Amino acid sequence: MIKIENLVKNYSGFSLNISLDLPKGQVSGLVGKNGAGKSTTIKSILGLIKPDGGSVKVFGKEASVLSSRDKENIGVALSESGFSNYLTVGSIITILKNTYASFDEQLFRRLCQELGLPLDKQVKDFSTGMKAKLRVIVAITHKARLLIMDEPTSGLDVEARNEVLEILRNYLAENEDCSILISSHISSDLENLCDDIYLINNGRIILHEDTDNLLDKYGVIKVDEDKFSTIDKAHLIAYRKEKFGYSLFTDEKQYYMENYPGVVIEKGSIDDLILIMAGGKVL
Amino acid sequence: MNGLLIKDLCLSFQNKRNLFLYVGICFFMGFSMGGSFIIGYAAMVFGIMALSTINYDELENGYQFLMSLPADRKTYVTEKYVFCLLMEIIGTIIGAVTYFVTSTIKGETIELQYELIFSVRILAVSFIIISFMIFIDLKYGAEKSRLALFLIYGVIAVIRFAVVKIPVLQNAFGNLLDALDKMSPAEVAAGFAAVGIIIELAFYSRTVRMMEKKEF
Repeated sequence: MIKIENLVKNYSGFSLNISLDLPKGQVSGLVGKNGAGKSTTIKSILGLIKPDGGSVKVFGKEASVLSSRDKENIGVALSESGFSNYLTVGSIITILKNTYASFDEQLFRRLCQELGLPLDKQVKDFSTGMKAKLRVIVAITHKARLLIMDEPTSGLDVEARNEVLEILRNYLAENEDCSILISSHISSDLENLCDDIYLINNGRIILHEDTDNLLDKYGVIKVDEDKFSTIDKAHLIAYRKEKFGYSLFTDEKQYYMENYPGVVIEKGSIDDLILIMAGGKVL
Repeated sequence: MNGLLIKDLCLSFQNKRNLFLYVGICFFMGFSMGGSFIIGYAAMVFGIMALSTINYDELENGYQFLMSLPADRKTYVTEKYVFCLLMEIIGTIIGAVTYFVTSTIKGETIELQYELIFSVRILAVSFIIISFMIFIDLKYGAEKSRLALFLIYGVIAVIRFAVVKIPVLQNAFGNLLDALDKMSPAEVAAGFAAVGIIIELAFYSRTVRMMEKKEF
């Protein structure tokens, strides 16, 4: 669905250089700190910016030459962009009916009702959570084969986040061939939704791993200075200096559990991944 | 393009209070100013209303989402030109109706053929200004385009001053008016329309090229 090969985009003080592959039916997460390059990657996929090098292909075509028909198969929810806040949901329904041939008005209205979005209110009067839900509903109600979600749960409370993620899970259950690229810096959102995770830092993909592997095999080892100097570093990916000593990130948790029974080994999470890989020293 | 047109219609008419205010001002000016000035005024007011949809699109990174919809950049620009032209036509019709109603109430006689030709001329000139403003709005954004509007008025004032004060320009302008006087009103209107279309096509093509290069 998406194939990014050596995409290069240069800005003053920032350079993006990444490759990424999103096959059919896969849900991939793009995680990283603010300013890591997530939004630039998504803008490249949507053809909003022009690459300085490499290629970005969507449905096998360069993103910059996608036809209107191709774009009908893409559902987009961007964190800080959507229909004008001066429109009502009712107006948006009329616009979508005249924009997408496969727009499912019944589903749109049902979701709005279930999620408490009034049709006659202007979007500017909505809460942050309501706006986020609306953006996701807009993206999923025209039978898109590819969903691009840029921080869809950013700024939401736990309840609203769960509702948004539930909408996506239901969509996936009903559309098994659909692919999703979702960027977020909230790890729990991605752990429960994504098949694989790309970690992006300073414009580079520094880790790509299946979510199951990440959660099963990866771990965080906490050691003091002495232990750090003697521990076998062959299976360590990165480490980070802490007040108590070091946090070590490994992709062979089991190895250290068997060979260093005395050390504290915690299950790896995407938060750890971001903190240690992006903030520590990669080996 | 239909979706974009409906979006702009919804945005333009979402503030019904302002809409009624504009139409009310048109009627008020129709009564107070007299003559067919109101036709040009209403066309410009509706053109500027249409133009303001660009500002709505620009707010809160709106372009990023709009450009991900199933419409390419050329379609977006085409829609803006079509929408502004439609709104100017609506404005011209409202202005013309206001003029006819107020003239009838005042008991003034109206030369229908002359007024129709006048309306075409007004529409052509006001759409040239709006076409230029579409380009400026899309290229530089709402804030800078306001400055550009003042600049246009400034340039018009300077040209007018120069025509009045500089003998060579005064003569040239006089000759142009003489030449126009020798033409029939229909020929003048057709000339305005033709020149208008050529200038608008030039602005349109420049705007499409600019948008195709733009990053969001």
